Amino acid sequence: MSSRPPKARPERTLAALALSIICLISLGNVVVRYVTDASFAFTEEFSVFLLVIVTFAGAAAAARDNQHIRIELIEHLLPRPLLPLFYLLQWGAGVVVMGATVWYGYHFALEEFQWESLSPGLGLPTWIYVSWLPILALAVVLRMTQNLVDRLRGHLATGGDCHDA
Amino acid sequence: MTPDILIIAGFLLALLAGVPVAIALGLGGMLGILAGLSPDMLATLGTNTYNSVAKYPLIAIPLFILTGLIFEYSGVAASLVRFAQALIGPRHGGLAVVVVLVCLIMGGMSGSGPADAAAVAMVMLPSMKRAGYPQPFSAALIAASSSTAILIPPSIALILYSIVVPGVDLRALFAAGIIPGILAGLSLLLPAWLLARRYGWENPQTTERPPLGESFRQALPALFAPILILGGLRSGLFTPTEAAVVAVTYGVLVGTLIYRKLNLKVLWRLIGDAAITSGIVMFIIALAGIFAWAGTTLGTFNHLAESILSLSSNGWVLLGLVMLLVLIAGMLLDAISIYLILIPIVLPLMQHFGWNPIWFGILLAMNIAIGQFTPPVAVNLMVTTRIANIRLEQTLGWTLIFVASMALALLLVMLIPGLALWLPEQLGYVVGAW
Repeated sequence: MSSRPPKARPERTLAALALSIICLISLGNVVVRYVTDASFAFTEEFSVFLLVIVTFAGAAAAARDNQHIRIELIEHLLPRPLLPLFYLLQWGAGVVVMGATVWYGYHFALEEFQWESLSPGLGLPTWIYVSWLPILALAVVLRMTQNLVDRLRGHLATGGDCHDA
Repeated sequence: MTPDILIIAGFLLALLAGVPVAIALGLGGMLGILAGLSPDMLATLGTNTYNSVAKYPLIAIPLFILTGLIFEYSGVAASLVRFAQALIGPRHGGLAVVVVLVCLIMGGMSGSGPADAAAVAMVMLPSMKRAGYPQPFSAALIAASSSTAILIPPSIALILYSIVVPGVDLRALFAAGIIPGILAGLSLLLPAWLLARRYGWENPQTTERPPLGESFRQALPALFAPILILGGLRSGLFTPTEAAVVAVTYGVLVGTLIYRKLNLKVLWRLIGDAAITSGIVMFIIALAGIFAWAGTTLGTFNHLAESILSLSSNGWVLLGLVMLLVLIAGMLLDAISIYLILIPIVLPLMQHFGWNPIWFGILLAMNIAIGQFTPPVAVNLMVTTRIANIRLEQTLGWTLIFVASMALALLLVMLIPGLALWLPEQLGYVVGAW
C-alpha cells in the first residue's frame, strides 16, 4: 500500500463503500440475533453481492498501480530493452482473461434478465447483481491499460531504469 | 498438445512472465477449456467468477484484513512491545524474545504476515539497533517471526483452506494452528536468544525496564483482541464471520476511545486500503475458480496426481515431495495463491493416502510460512529489509539459521500429528481420523 494519494478513486470509493455496508450489515446481524433471537438471514444475499463489488472494484483499483500479486523475479533479471515486450505480454494476458469475463459476464447478466430470474432471498431480479461483474471487469481492463501506458512511459523516460510504477 | 499440458504449462509460463497470479490462473483455465472442452464452455468465465467469490464464509476475509489494519494503525505494536519488554526485563537477547512474542500476539489479531512484519519492524528496528543488534539479524528475525501469522488464528489462508477443502471445520483448523504456531515461534526464539547471548548483544546494565503494571494496562486492550476472537469462536458465541465483525468493532472502539488514534477520516482511509487488499486477494479466488473447474472437468488434476503417485507409492516420500514443492512455491508467492493453486492438485493425493485434512492444512501453512522469509523472493524479508534500509542479501546467513530451525519444527508436526490435532479434538471439534 502506497502513501501516495490513491489513483483509482471511483473504484476505491465504491469498494470501500461496499465493505462499510458489509460491516454494518454483519454487525446488525450479530446484534439482532442476540437481542431478538430472530434470524436476519435474508441479508446474506446482499452481503455476498457486496463482496463481489469489493472484489472487482478493489481489483480494478489495485490494477491501476500494478499491485496484483505476481512473480517479479524473472522480470527483474531481464535485460532492459526486453521489458516493454513483457509489459505488453502481461497486459495482453490480462485483457484476454478480463475481456472474456466482460463478454461472458454480459451474457450471464443478459440471460438472467431475459429469464427474469429472481433471487432466492430477497426476490430481487438477479440481473441487478450480476450486471456489476461485466462493468467492473471492464474497469479492470481500463486500469490495466492505464498502468501499461504509465509503465511504458516510465521505461522511456528513465531509459528503462524503472520497474513498477 | 494435450489439454492437460496446456492448462499447466499455460499457467506456469504466464506466471513466470510476471502476469498476475489471478490472470495466469484464468488463462490456464481458458486454454484448457478451449483445447479439451468446447468454446461454449468459456461461458463459465461469467458464472464461475461471480459464484467463486459470492460465498458467505468469504466475508470473514475483508473483515479480518480490516481488523489487522485498524489494530496496526492504533499503535498496538508499540504497546505490546513495551509490555513484553517489562515482562522479560533487561537481559542479553531480551529484545529478540520480545520480537517473537509480539509477532505471535499480533498474528492473533490480523491474518497476514507482511503487514505484521512492517508494524513490528517500525517499532523494534530502531531500539534493537541502539541495543547493539546487527540490523540484518533483526530484519531476519522480524521477517521470520511475523511469518507465523498464517498459523495463528485468525488466519486468512486457513479460512480459505476450510472453504476449498471439503469437510474441514474452520474452528477446528484455527485451533489446530495454535500449538504448531507457538512451536514455530519457539523454534525462532531459541536460536535468536542463544545468538544474542553468544555475541553479547544488548547490555543488561544500560537498558531500562518499562514499569510492568502501567505497560500491562496499556497493552490490555490489545491482548484482549485474540481472546475475544478465539474465545467467541470456542464458546459458540460467534460464527467466524461474526467473530470477524466483532473484532472490527472492537478495534474501532479501542482505536478511538483508548488509543485515540482513529477518527472518521482515518477509518475511511483504512477501509479503502482494506477493500483494495481484499480485492487483490479475492480476485485470485475468483479466477482460481476457473482454473479449478477446468482442471477438474478435464481430469488434469487426477492425471497429475496419478503421475505423482507413479513416482513412489510411499506416502512419506510423497509428503516430503509435496512439502518441497510448497516450500519452493512459498519463496515465490503468498500463502493464498499457493493454497488456491496447489490444493486441487494435492487433494487427490491427500485422499489416496488418507492424510488428515486438518493436519495437512497446517503442514502446508507452516511450510508456506517458512517460504515467506526464505530468499531470494521472500515477501516478509523484503518488507523488513526495506524498513531497515539494508540489502536482502545481507540477511542471508541469519535467515538460513531461522529457516533451518523452523524446518525442524515443521518436521516435528509432520512426525507427530497430535501436535496439531490434539487441541481441536480436546475442544470438541470434529477432526477426523489421524
